Amino acid sequence: MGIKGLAKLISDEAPDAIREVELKSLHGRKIAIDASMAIYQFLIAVRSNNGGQGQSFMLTNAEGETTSHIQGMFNRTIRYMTEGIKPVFVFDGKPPEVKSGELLKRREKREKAQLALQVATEEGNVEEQDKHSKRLVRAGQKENDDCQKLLRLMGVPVVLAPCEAEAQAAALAKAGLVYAAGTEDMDALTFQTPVLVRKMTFASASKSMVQTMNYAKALEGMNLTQAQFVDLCIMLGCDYCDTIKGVGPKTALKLIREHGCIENILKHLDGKKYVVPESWLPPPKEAEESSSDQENSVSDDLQPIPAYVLARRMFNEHEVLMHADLKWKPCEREALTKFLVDEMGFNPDRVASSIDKLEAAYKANKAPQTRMDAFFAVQPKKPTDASVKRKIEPVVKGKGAKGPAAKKKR
Amino acid sequence: MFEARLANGNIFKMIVESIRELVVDVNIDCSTEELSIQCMDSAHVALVSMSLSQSAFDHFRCDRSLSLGLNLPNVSKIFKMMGRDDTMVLKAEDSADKLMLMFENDKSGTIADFELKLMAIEAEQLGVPDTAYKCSISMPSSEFQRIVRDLQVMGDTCKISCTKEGLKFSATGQIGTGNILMRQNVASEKEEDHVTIDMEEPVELNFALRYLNFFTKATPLSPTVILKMSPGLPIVIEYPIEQLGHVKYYLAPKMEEDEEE
Repeated sequence: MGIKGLAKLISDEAPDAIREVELKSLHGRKIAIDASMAIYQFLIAVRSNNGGQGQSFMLTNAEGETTSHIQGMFNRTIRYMTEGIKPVFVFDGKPPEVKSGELLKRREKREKAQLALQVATEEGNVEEQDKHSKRLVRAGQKENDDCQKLLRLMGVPVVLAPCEAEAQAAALAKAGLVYAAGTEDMDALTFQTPVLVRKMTFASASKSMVQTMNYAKALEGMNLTQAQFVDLCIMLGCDYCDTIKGVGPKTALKLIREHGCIENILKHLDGKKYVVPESWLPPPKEAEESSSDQENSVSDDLQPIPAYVLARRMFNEHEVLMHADLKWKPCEREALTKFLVDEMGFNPDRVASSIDKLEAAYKANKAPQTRMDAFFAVQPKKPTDASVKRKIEPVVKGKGAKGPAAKKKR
Repeated sequence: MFEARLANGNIFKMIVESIRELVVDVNIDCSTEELSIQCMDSAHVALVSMSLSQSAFDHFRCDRSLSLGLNLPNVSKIFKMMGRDDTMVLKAEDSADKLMLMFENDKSGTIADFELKLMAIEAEQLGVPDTAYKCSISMPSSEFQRIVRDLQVMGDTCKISCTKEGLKFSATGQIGTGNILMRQNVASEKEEDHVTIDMEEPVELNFALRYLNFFTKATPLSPTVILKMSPGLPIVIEYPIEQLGHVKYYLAPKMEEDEEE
């Protein structure tokens, strides 16, 4: 899932790119949220455990169907809208072919968890049981359909991605249709979302912070071009191919900085120290051709294409919708109540009060509070009086943010 | 070296009180000419800009401009210990990580001094252009405070419209609608009771009353308040501090969707 170690690498190399902000500070923004990721998280987190005793179970309705995700999605969306955020939920389409390896791994993990769960159940170890049953969670088609139905009834726009949801969310943000992509998946940065918002799903009480990552600042801080950043992500480990054994985040960044792209790295790599996966080693001619001219290599399917080139293609030319109908509509109160109370078995009173909140939030969003930065431009971090700044710099060195802050307004 | 001595320390206390409900951490910027603050609330809806000229101080020395990062709740706690008539002295070294505060009372001869740890605060600064506004209204600050407080009963959004008739504040909520109209009024002998309306063209904007209410915390600083509005721009609410400075609040309006883009 995501890019291995990228979050840490960015926080080490480009700390400016990451900011912890209050959820509130995102008000007025449209955010494309990776629904599949959110559903998965709800299935794990929204559970009941019979007053703290025994194993925790997912919430279910009278028919025994899981409703954790509905509960989570419903409350979370209302909370976003109350904060003045306009959510768009993006659902996964079909998984890309190159991901099959990754998916296979995940299936194996799940089978392992299944076995471990059986062992734990026999032993009566509640903690282990909990752990493994959470690992077994799977967001299937039904869960996705349920949530889409719920969101449509709530009047929240739903976008069905042709392929991966995070790529679609990033594309919407890149096109300026939304402000940011909201997912935990660091992939979204590789797909060039200008802003990535993380930790959104569980930003509950107004105190808790969400994390924003700025793509441009991350590139600037790491001193990489877009293409180099994609190559870096592939080296770190993405969903689409294997990595070179023995190359960690630090080394990967060093190699990319030194050689510029994976092709050059492979030429210079010490074959004894590092093991390049077989799928990365096609006939060398092909590698060069595909790097210089990707169009050509597409038509030339007879020869195998190195896995990293395929992965790169996934990141750069992902199948996405460029237009999406992002309209927030009033919720359909009756149909929504029917769905939640009759089908999902929710408490009618709670549903009614939640829908009240939803309607109030929708109304408030009709004439939303604008943001200060919509009127006045953010000033670059330098004082108006440059000479003063120069004098100051040696004095305040080692005091980080104090230096740039020494400036006056206007 | 930064050193400033303010005979009426209470002014500074009131400035802190006027900001602290809006923002938690602020940078106080010291330059050779003034003390100033620019900061936004966490939702980036309102902006505060404070300036206190060096001439407001009995003694003012600032060799190099510097920025003092302060946590306002803590500053406020310290100012609670200041007497009404105390003289306030602020001191900081150029590369200091703390601010010295002294409260001196001449009558009783007591001197209290405090050391406050400074913080590195990362905050975005906005460039606020000096624009000419279409409407400018001056009125008693206590009157503005009352209107804002009263209208909160009716709703959470206040429509402020400036027309030929005068300045109208309206709020609509579940219980109904309330309007308060102010006309030009220069009859009173005391100038600070005057209401003057200077209008080039009519303006009508919507604002969150909650924020307007935060701004009225500056009422003790000034007998008059100046409201400036232009269509589609944030309102400016200015509390002049004698001739020596000001606290200005900017508040982004609530606007219909398509205008926001």
